[in-house]
Amino acid sequence: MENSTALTPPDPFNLANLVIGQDYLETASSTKLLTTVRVGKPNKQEWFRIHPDPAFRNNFAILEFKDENLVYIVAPGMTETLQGEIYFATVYFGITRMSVPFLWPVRLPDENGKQHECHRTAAIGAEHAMTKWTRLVHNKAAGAYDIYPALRDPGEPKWPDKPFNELLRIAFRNEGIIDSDEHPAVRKLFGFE
Amino acid sequence: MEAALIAALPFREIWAVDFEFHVPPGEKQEPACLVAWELRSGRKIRQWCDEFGTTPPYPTDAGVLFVSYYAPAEINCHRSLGWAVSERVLDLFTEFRNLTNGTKVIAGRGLLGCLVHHGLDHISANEKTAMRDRFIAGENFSTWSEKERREGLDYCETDVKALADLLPRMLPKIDLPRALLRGRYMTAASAMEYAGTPIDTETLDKLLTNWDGIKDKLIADIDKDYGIFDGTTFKADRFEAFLVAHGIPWERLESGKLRLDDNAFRDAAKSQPLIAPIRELRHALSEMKLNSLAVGSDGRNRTMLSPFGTVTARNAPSTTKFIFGPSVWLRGLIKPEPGHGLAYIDWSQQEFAVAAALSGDKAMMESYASGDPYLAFAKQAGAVPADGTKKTHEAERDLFKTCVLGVQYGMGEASLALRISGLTKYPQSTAKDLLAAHRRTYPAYWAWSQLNADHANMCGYLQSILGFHFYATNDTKLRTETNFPVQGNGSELLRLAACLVTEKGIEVCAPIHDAILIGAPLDRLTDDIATTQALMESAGKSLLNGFELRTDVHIVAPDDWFGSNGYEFELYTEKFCKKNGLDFALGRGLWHGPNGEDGHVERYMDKRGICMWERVMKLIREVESNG
Repeated sequence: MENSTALTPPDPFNLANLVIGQDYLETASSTKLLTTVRVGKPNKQEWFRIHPDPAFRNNFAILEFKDENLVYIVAPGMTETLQGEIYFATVYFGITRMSVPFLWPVRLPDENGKQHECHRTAAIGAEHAMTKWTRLVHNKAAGAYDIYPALRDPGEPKWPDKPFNELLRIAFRNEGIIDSDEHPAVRKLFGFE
Repeated sequence: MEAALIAALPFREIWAVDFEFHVPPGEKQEPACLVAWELRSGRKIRQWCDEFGTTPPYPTDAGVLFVSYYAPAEINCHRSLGWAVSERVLDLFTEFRNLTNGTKVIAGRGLLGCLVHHGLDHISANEKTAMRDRFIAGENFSTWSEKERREGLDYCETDVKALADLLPRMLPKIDLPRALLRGRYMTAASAMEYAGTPIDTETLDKLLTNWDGIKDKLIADIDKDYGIFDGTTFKADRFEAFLVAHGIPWERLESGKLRLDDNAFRDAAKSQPLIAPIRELRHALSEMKLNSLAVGSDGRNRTMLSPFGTVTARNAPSTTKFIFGPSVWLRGLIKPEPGHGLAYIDWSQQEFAVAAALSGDKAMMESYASGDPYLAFAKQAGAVPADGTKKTHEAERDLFKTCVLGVQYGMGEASLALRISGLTKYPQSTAKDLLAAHRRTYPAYWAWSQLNADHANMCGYLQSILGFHFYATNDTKLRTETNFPVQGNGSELLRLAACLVTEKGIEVCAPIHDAILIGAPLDRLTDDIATTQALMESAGKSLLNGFELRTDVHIVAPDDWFGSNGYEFELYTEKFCKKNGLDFALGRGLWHGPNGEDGHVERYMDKRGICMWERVMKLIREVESNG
């Protein structure tokens, strides 16, 4: 009993010692793993931005099965084999207002320097979207895209922390890159399947 | 081992205490007997009511621990006896709640359930009930024979023994410093239970006397605009036709029938003003139990506040006994005694502020700091220009407000669409856009909310800033996990504020969700309001990393008090009266204070209940004048 008077009872009035910080939650913290990158153009309702860094775009040979909505990158060694079936495009990296990342192949002019108005205006739209939130709507009558810049700036997008190569790998995975004539897409194209 | 745990407690003495008492509805405790054990020395005290002295038979200073189960009952016995209240309270009820919140317990959360949960012996329920009934009946305790007294004290002592058994069993799991803070709140809760809320008993008597007589007239009066009753029977098919005629969407059950429970009406009434009178009427006819309202002989409404009663640790007083439980219009019965005033003080948009401060979302904090987070959100999302105001963009503000409130309760697209159906022609797409705008505008909030859900799922629990736990189980819904951090911490704010205000000697009549109702003599009212506001704001700062929460005040005082305190009177607008079914000619209105306060004359009035209150009072006057 004598010793007990020397004890210091906890003080329920000293809040500084009682408040629990929100950092206790960090034991369960996580960031979203980027597992999917869409391939294709943004749809007409979507506001989007294109990454302005040149390291986030490159030119590729593209093979496309429009009916099946399938897009492949053709490795340099296979372009001759697939001549006539492929086109060359700049593949841009973009993100929508809903934070959906996408890779967007925009067709380059052909070997004669000719370029369809749709592709030319799409390229202008992509360039425009490097600095402003943009929406692209196909104008059938004009055979081109109409470009709509956002009237107000909702701020810069939050870009995924991944290099372009990694984004390509996520988007096309293994089968999305045609690097041999054994590739199922090539076999299908040549009537082997 | 058990003795060692008790010995290690940093207190000079540890008293396990239990009273038996009589407490009729609305009254203060009338103690019958007391048993107290000092758990280190083994000293035991048994006192019958006529043996009580002027001071407690044990010390109550900060070096002594007072242990009980649901402490407000024991503490209020102290108050009834004029005894000092213990400075350090450990309530095993709150600790049992804290150890099991969110989980199912096999025998409830009473003392018996706590014993069962801990695998301890307990007396049979029947034996307990028989003796308890005698105390509840309040038989004149001083006339009990020696044998009856001994049996009564033996009965009381079984609960003290239970405390002595439970304490060492629970101690290893108790976070003592924060447990004492919870005990501190139980003392504040006891003060609020003891004070109670002043009721206009004359009008309550009139209501009780005339209710059956005016029911039919009330139905006819309200239903004349709707045509959905057949006599006193609500007809679902007529209601469905009414909804179709007015283009009001309504939730349906899987069977395809309309969902007609009170929650469906309450939710719909928030966005569809036409539904509000029907909801009030149905509620009044089916669920209101006027006789249950616990009003004591001094005209005060008193009932157990059941602190920590909900999963989010909010108070959970009986919805029929507590004046703030039934329909809002009945709050018109709250009336200060002559020479006194009341003030209802709440934090402005408490949940929004808690979410902003704890998530650290800068845009959300800026939005709160603007003074009108709903309008600020609309501006941040680009729906309202920077110079837009509540007046110029009322419709947009209403939509964004509904979204903010909905998000706080984990509302999804479908529920939000239903809630905003009265505000927009395109509820589905608008709800989708609003939720997307919220996610875009407040990304740090959403990340924090997800982090809470992740923690609950990975670690099995969440805890509030002052250490109240929520345990997730396989059955826990995501909505509960994301709701707890906001509501649970909101409840911490209220508990701390209630402690600070009651400890200042201010009379707190009742806690109401994120508000407290204080009472004071008119010459102290202004000072007590200012002190209460300052304490509530300081509670916010202490718990939310210095974030500043504002408070709003609604005052009830006599006409001349407002006039002499710098208030200006404003009639309700014709639009407001029309919307609420009020007679504009009655000249009702609000007093507006210099710092944004407002107030009503004579009695408390919730805006949502004015219409129903006026209707009922008018009918009572008619019945009375017809003799």
